[in-house]
Amino acid sequence: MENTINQNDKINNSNNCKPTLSKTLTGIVGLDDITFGGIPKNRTTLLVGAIGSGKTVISMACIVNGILSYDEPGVFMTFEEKKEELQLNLFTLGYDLETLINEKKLYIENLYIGHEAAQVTGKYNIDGLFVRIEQVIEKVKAKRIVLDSLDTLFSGLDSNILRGEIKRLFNWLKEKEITAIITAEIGQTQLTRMGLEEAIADCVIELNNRVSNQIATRRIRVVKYRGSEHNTNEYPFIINRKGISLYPLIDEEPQQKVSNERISTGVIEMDKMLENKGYYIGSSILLAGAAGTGKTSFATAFAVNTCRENKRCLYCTFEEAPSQLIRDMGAIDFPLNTFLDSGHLKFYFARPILQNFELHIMSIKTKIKEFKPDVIILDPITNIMVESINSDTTATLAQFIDFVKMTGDITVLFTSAMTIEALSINPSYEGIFSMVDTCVMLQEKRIETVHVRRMYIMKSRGINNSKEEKEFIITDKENTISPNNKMVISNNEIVKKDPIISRENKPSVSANLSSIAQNENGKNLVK
Amino acid sequence: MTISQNENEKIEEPEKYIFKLFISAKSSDSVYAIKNIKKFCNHYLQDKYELEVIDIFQEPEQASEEHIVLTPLLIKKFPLPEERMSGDLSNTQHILAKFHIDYEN
Repeated sequence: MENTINQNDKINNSNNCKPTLSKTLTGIVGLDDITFGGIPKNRTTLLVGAIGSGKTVISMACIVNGILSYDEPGVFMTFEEKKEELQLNLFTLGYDLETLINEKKLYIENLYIGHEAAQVTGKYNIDGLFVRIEQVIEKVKAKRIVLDSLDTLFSGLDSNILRGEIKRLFNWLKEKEITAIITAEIGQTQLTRMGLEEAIADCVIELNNRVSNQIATRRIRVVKYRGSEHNTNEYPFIINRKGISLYPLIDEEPQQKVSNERISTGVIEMDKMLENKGYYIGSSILLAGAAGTGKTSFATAFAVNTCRENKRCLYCTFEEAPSQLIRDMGAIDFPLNTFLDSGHLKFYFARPILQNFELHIMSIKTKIKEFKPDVIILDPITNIMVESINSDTTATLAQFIDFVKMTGDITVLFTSAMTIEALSINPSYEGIFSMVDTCVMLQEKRIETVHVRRMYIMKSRGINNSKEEKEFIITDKENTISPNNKMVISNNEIVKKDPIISRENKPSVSANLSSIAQNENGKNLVK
Repeated sequence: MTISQNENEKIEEPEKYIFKLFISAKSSDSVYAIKNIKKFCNHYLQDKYELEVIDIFQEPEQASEEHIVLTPLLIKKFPLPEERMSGDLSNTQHILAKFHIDYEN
């Protein structure tokens, strides 16, 4: 009997003691996402990267966040920079270490080494470091520690002895129940110069700072995470006065909100093609077409109509400066200025080559948080993808769409200088077409001696859209309707006979909709 | 011998060498280091030396004052300049050269 009870106990115990991998949040936005909850708790994470890749800043951020957000005091052991220099460097990034040190939550240790390292005879070990670490941990009751960096610490020492010693260090840190980050310089052929640390560390994170098309971008990648799933992609990150921001792709976002409400496209015939209601609020729309097919006009019609409905629109322009856009769209009577003054419209304008695509997206995200728009227009998205459209930029765009969708009620419209024909040349385009909810193709076709603009809705998720290819005209004449049921893009403030109101009985949504009044013969008609 | 720091020192042999040996009692390297340095001192310096052996786990404060990372570590405190040498001190020639000890004396 006793035996069986004992056995049962054992079984229960073993069930309770299932090895669960506990993690420690770094508090670095994004890094905790790509590691699904942070770095391994009470274990060692290796942070590798070249000089200037941000190892020191990232590791210090983890310590500071630990103190500020998780009540975990920390020790920063540097073998490289002088304490004062380190403090100054990080102060410029917005880290006030002085206060934390005075509160006895942070201890910065600057360990000079090197003299004795060069003068070695016979075997040795690094027990001295252990003693030192133990002491400084005790000083602030640290839960987190950074050793920056392994290369400086062990420069000039025999790598054969070191391998064993580094292994011992990692195990010893584990016993100390402290979450450790050890930085190391990236090696030529191996991940680290020492060549073995990555085999010992539980988690290896790589940083790099690559220049492509003259734009330098810092990137971060989780190379290995023992016992945990992790994202293996490279993610760009920035270090600025606000600290570190990563821009990760959040794999699946269950809280993604879905709206059943609709928003007018700003073009009445286009609304008609979309069940007479327009786009879904919170959806993503792509207007694709070659140069001169009317993408910006469509986008502006949408923007103007949004503002007219007393909603806010963030217009991100990467081609024309806002002033030029106002002038050009003024030529077809779109009163962008009025809405700029009324505060309904805001522009974001940045030179595409100013920074890389991901960083543009990050700046836009910041704007979104400040301005809280209902509609975002990116015109044209292809311009800021200066690195050419590849899987990287497509992924970033997907992340951005994800981010916008999480807000639930922001509708985002991209324009893109792409054509269906280009798909066969660059298959990456396909990704862009497939990630958006509604895809509108704009084309210019020559019919006999005249070029006409045509559009069709390639797809629109959840909407029984018209498959018709429609000719459209752009005109400065208000209240224009073209013959033969053509689509007209023009500024229309007052709805005279709005078919949407009568059909949907939703005056609150559509009362201010711009529409095409039933009038005869506008000018600029094609054909 | 071109070993001393200045002319005076060259003439006057130091009366005493003062050594500090930092060890970690747990490791075998340290045991060898103690043996080796004692043998060395007795052979080359006879009674002209002082040797203090410090276990860093027993006296961590001293260890941190001296920025000890590697053990065993031998520090020659006197005569100046201070010199350091890590390892199990198995190579006598290294010690003689490093600490400028005139072994013919």
